[in-house]
Amino acid sequence: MIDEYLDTVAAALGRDRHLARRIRHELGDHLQEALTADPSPDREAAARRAIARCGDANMIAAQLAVAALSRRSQHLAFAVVLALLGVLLSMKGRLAWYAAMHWKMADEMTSAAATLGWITRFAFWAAIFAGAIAWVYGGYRVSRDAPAAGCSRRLRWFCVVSGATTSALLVSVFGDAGLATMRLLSTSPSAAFLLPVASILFEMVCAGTLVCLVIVLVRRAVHAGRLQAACAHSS
Amino acid sequence: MLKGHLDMIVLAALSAGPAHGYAVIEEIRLRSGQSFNLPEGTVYPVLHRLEQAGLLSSRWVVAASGRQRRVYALTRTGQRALAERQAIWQRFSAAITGLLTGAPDGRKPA
Repeated sequence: MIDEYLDTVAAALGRDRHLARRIRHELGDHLQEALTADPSPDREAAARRAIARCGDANMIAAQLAVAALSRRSQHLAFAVVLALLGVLLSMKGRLAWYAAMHWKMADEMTSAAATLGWITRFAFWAAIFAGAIAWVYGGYRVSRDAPAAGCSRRLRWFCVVSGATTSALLVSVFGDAGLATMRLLSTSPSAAFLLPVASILFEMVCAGTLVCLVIVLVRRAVHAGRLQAACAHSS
Repeated sequence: MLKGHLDMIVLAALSAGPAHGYAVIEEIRLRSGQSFNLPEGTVYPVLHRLEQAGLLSSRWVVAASGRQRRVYALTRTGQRALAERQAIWQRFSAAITGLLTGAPDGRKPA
């Protein structure tokens, strides 16, 4: 009976396996303590009472899911800053490499490269701007205020701003990839190509990681919202 | 009303020293003279939330029974937060008492 109850809480937490495992241990220990403290010889009745005192499994899962969003928001806010820094360093390193190698852009590509360069710079600065807002929301406002308010407006804003940062960063990274391709096409192939290619791959990994984290946060927020709505509906 | 003060209640219960979830519930019952009978499971989301806010720290320990259990303790930030909330509560409590009794600082009128 206790195992069924713990399974219900863990299952309601969905894909957050770490949280599900942790709460399974914590609640399991709690219920065993409650059973030990119950002097009744009827152990089944004692288990029923312990579970009843614990409360609705879905309600507990909903509250835990909301509480976990705060930690995820903070992680994403850190990831945004790290990804932006990583991409910036990668861009600067690549430009320094081009200068050291004396690689010039082919004349027929100069105009297209200038336009793409402008788009890339604009996208990167937009990512920095949105990232700064995401940092403020995720690192401070969401983590301090949102847990008490549940899936709040602030959390939705944080998801929107993080999504905007990630989109702008993706544009910037793809722009960088285009510019690097133009530069490499203007030069004779050599082992020195490895560094710009590696730096572009690194930028893609940074942006890809952000995309994954934003998707996970949005999914968890939607899941927590649904759990809350289901609990509100049933109560 | 209790729900709005759950954070303070849990912090206060942990002010006596580190404890696991079940012990926190027991402490709340004991200190409140059995008045607060909230669903026991609801203390865990509060403990997790306070830990994420940096007000509590936690670690796994092995109980005498051999079971693994999570033990929570107040951090320094948690102690400061509790002191702030206690001060706010005491001002609020004195104001309401004053309102109900007619004496500005909560003393009963002669």
